[in-house]
Amino acid sequence: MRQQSMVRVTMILAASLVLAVSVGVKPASPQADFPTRPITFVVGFAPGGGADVFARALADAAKGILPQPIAIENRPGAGGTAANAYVVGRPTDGYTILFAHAGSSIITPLITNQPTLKWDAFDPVARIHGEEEWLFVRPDSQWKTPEELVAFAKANPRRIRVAGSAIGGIDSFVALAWEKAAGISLQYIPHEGGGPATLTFLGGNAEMLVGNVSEVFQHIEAKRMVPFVVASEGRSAIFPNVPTLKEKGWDVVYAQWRSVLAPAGTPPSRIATLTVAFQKALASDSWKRFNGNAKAVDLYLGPADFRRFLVNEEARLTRIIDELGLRRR
Amino acid sequence: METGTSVRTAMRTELAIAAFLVTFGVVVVVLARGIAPGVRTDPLGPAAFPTALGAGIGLCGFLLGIATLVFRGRPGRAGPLSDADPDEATEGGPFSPTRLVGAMVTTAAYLAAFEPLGYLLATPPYVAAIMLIHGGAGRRALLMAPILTTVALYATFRFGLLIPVPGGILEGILR
Amino acid sequence: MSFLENLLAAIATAPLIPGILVMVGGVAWGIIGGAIPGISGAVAMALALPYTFGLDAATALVLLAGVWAGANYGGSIPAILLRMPGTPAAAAAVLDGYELKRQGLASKALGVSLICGTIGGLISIIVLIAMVVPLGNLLLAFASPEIFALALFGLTLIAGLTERSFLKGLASGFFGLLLTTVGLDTLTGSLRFTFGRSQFLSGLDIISVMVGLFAVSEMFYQISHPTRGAPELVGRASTAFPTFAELRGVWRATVVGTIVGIIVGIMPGAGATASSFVAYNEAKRWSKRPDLFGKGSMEGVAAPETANNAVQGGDLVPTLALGIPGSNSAAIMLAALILHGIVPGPFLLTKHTGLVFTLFAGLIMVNLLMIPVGTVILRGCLLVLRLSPPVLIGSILAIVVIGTYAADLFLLNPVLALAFGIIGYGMRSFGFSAAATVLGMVLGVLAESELRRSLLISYGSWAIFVTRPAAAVLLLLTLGVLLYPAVMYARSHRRARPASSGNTAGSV
Repeated sequence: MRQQSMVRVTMILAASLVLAVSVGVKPASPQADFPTRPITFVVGFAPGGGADVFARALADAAKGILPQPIAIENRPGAGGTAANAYVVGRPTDGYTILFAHAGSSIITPLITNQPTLKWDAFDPVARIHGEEEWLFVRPDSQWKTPEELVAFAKANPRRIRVAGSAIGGIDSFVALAWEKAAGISLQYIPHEGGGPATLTFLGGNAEMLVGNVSEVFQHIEAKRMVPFVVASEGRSAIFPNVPTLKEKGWDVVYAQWRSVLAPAGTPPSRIATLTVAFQKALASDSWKRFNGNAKAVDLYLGPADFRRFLVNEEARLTRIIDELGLRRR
Repeated sequence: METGTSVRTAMRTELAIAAFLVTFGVVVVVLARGIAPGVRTDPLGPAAFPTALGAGIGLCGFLLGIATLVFRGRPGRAGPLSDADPDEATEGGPFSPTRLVGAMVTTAAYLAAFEPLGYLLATPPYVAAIMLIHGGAGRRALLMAPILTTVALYATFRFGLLIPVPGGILEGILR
Repeated sequence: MSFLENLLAAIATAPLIPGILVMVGGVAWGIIGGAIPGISGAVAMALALPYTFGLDAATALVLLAGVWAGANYGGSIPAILLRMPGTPAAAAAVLDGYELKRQGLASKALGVSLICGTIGGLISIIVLIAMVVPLGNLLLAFASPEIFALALFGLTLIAGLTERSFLKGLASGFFGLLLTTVGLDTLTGSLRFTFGRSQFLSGLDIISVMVGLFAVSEMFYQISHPTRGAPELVGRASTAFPTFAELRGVWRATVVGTIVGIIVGIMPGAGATASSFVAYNEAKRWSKRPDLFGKGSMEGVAAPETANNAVQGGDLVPTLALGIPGSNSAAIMLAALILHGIVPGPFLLTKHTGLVFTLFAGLIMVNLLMIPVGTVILRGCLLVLRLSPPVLIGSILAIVVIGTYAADLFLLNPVLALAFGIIGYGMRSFGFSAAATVLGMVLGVLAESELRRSLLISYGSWAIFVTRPAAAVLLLLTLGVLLYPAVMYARSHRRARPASSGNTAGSV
């Protein structure tokens, strides 16, 4: 009797042990297993906006490359930093990624004194693409070259009205930085977004418009506006005849770049999986079509290069923010 | 008709309201002074609107106070400028301050527990508590309604709309 | 006319059965989504967006248009039944709709909202189809000065919303305007009233504030003033639809709502919410029974609900003609276009004529489908009235919390709803007007930013409001509207002096 019950007890113990081990032990190699469920791409802006459309297009292009889909989660608010605040607290298992651009990851955190939500609180995954910043005028504008405009502006301070998006956004930096570099004074008219700014310009209530080509390309084709000067390193492939601010002697270079970040401490192998997938996605047809329509340029950078870029970018932007007196302490 | 005391109480209430408005207005104007002018201020600037509105609210309070004193509880004469009519009939039953405070505090507690406890655990007790405070709910309703409501809303939001409802304590199990 | 040929061809070649299913689904989801407080039309469309990927561009657009139209009606369902606007655009429907429900006429009110809304939507679509290009050019004449003047004009409604104390109503309106200044100021980058908290950077969420002021305060009121026995309406509530005669009775309000909705929709920046209040104001002005407004006037429901549906056509004018979205909802339509590889802009009409005309045909169809789908959902929602008060109140509060949480996933939003529920209760107890505060919030954003932008455009000169004809006219109207009741009051008061009876009610 005692022997039978002892055998029974041993068997029960052994079975429990096996059960505990099989439930508690996870299979090896996290790499091979990632991702096994959908990845959440958190976007700090409202659905339908530029950031959101970018995220959805990227997720769409990554379909078939990653074994699991990417689901967009919108958490608008606080200039994108609400999403940053949310992702900071997420598990570092690679299943949460964050949309980032200059505004949400550098400018707004600096302006609103939230250093814990800046890009360096996260691990860079990849910089994806970007759009150049342009200045447009009307076809019948009295200034044919940037030099003419600057000369007029010097003689007539705050006379030339420039429509653009909100103060603190990249558009506003282009205009304000050009003012500082050229020693002129413009009348900058901020709006809630590129669309309302375009309307003000088209309605004849501003002489210049600052923004991206994608929003107004058809208006250019319809001869309602003309690209005047571009704020990039070298001449643009879209309108090669248009000069850059830099070549005219004003070092004003800004771009609207878009990228992906992950919570700090995410395993590098998982970041690598994601970044390789995104790189492949950039070669897909759907992405090429989206990029072409958006008149954007692929600006892919892997995690290490992207981190270097961000350090540099933050230094540049901090300078202009401080010059403008935007920093809150 | 209005008795002398009820008119006086109404007047006192009105004056208290007037004083509150004036104070509120002053506070707003003072706070507005602290607004940084920001970059490239437009002709009005960010502080203009708040200051004007604070002043406006304060002015309303001031005029209200004057109207109450001048028209001393003769509601007809006060007309649209003051509201000291003590005979206003209230819809619904008699006022119960305990129920009011109870409802407010319970809701605040629910919000505090929303994320830590998670939606599924925090909501049924909340709904049941509100039902109890309001009164008039049968035992079956008290048991079933909170759970049905919670589950129905959870299904709609979590599965229908794919909204990440807070899991709270149950986070690990649910995801 | 090749225009008509295009339209008929689009209708004829559209695949019927799958198309109808998609449209019905879109409209149904829109109504339900709109009915959930916290889910606005734009949010409902965004939630439907992933489902549009597998569809072709035209079907995707029509689906989203259905959601949009449905949401504009859906928001009025809880507004009328529970005093809780499901979308900001339905806030004006609370003013008279809830009164009608208390009189047992909820079904009629909902029917008016549905039918008049559909009429407004259809007319605005027809106007859109007929005149999209000329209107697109016309709208460029509307800039900041005009929008400011319109917002100011709409704010005069504050006078009409205050029944007893004009001063308190004014203060309530000022309070609403003040609330809109919280957050980051786009014109200067400075922070206002944020007290160092980043959650306030983008301002106070208007849906949460509205729901708090209207619905949560009402719930607190009912809890703290419990009635013995069953509430007055269950059982006596009619489930009848409005009769033809009743619909004819609101024709004036419907016309006003349609016109206001289309115009405000075309204007950049102003959307469904602003249009509903302006329409309410105007309908009251032109009504034969203005005294009924606020006490259960069918016109008071017809006008705003027609307007917020009619905004759809107006909103699509800048969206299709210029590629610039007229509202968040239109922005999602554009996003769908972009994600299907189509570039919006002034050439959309010429480069993608087939697509645009299919969209037009689809817009007409979804607005027509609103009536059958809306009726079915309406009947279902009326069952809510049968719930016992404790169950109803408990459920409403639970819905408020999860609904306000859902859009932004901030706990701040439900907290705002609670805070403003308390504030709303206080306002109600002391004679203030929550409706005036809501109005101030809705129009305040427009008023301040467009005023300041106008001054930037004019180099600081206030003369711009006089030199621009449209703005000047609107401002004169505003002045007239403000002075008229004061003049009337003075005259009637002078006349009444000799009689000198103690009439208790204030007249403004």
